[in-house]
Amino acid sequence: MTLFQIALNNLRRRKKKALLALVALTLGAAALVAVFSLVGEMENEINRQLTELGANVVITADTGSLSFSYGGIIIPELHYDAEELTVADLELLYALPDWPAVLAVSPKLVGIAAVNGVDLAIVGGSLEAEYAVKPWLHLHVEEEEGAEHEEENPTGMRRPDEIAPDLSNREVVIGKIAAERLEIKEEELIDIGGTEFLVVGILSPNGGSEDNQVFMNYEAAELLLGKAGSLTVIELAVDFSRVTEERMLGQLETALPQARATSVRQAIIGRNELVGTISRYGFSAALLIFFSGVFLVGLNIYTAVRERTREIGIFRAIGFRGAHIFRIICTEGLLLSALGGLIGYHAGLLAAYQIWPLFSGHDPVVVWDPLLLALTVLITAITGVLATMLPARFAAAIDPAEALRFF
Amino acid sequence: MVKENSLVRAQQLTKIYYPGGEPVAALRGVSFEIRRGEAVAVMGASGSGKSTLLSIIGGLNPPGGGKILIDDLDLYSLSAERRADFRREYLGFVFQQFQLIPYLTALENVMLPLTTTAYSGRVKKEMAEAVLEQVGVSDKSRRLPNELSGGEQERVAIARAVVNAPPLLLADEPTGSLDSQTAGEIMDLFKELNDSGLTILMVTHNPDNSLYMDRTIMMQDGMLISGGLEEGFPAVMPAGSDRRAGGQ
Repeated sequence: MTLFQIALNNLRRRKKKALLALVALTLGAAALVAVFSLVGEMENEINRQLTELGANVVITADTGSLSFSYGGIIIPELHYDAEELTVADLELLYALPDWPAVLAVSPKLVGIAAVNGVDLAIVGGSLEAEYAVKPWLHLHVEEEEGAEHEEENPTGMRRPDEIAPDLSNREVVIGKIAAERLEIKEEELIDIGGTEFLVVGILSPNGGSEDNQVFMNYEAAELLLGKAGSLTVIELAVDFSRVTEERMLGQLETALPQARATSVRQAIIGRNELVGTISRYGFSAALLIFFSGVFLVGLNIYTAVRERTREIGIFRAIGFRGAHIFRIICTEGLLLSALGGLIGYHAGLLAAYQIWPLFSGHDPVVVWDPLLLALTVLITAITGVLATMLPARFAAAIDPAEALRFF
Repeated sequence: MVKENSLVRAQQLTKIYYPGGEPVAALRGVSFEIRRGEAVAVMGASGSGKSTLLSIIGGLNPPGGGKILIDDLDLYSLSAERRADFRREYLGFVFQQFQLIPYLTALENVMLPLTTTAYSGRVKKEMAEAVLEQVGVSDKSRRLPNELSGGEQERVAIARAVVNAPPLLLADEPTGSLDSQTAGEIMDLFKELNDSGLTILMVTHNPDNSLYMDRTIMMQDGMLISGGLEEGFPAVMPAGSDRRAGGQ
């Protein structure tokens, strides 16, 4: 018989009450772990997007009013029909003092045309340059019957050996959703504004604007849209380790006063702030639940102590010190809270896994982390014991003569 | 069995309670002596101070005045925690209505006083099993208290009180919850323990129980009226004292 066994036996005796406290603490720990995991996953998602965004500066004419979705991040006010940017503006960009920090540039003319009778966005530019600023773009490969399954590509990024097709003036690459909408397959002909084009490839779906676009070379788009020498958007991949964001945007504004240069990093920073706000609210709510659980454990133990006054009097009478009683009660709190932390960690992880799809279309990368598990159990155990200390002190101070009603 | 050498010496014990703010004297200058190996019954009407006296001797309830010496050690000169150690090593308690811990088996209940000792788990278990054998309920060692009869629970309670081989056993109405036949068996057990050298102080209402004892101390209104007088120790306070401490 040890103090630990006495504590354990007592918890077993009052299973229902112990279970109630355990559930409360489990919920608290689960809420904390779920929020922690979700916020971590949000940060991972932002980092993933940041990594995938080859293009991190978008230059548009400063007249638009249409949102432009870029890698899941909304860049406001892109006007698809603007003409203020021209091919000649590219020369001004090449003359920028920090132009060497620009790793890739993709100028494009964007417009709308009837494709097989359906209005779709037409993008004219170099597919090779587009590949350079959008590493996730790649052509969809139809699996042939009987062929081996393509090896899974969990990142969704383009394989290094895929080269952008060099499009002639009568060739296009079409987004997956647009192709499905038009019921068009590779190597088929489509009519765009009265001219026939050959579909040489279909882009893999990526959830972005490319899914609904028809991509052709610049000259073909110039002719089709009747906008010779015009550009709608210029996307840049800038190495911000070599030049500051403010400096690069300042140079762009000076060189192209009629245009607006937007850093995707700024959009991400804005989104990061949003994640920060969500996490603050989330953690506040989770902490509230957690401490409510801790309070319930303390209250549960206090009630148990009150109910066990006579029993504690017996312990004291047969030679248990106040310190022994204190240890028994604290051990009960420790057992409950450590178990609550252990179950709560796994419940929180499961909750994060289930909730994450509400935030993102991607599968969560919530992982079982022994360090976080140990930390969760440690924190819940410490707070649980702290909550138990007050009733434990009360128990240790019980007067045995009074408890046993000797007078 | 030679019964000499003082084990317990009570010297002018007083105790005042304040129920509802009014002072009431539970003990008024009680003095007596118990020799090593003696079996002493304390009798008296309800409210005579028997249980208060027992709790004071048990180190659970500090007296308002006077001293209690056990083996010449002034019990209340010790801190509360040291008194707990003293109770574990020197005293065995048999409470009214058994007072077994309901969620522990008979064996675990008996092992309780050994919990905080330095004995190994195996030795503790052997000691508990031996004493359960001695009191005649070794076959019930795995049972919970609610699975035992009243007499069996009393035997387990006695086993718990003597498992650490204390010199002094304090019993508070140990047969109060038992029928007369079982009470007789329990008193036989107390007699056996006393014959083996254990000093017993038993508070009881039952005159039959006192027949098993060497001596009976009679109490009335917080005073000892017979059975405790030893040379040099007045049994009662001087004449004129009142049950109400402040009421002289």
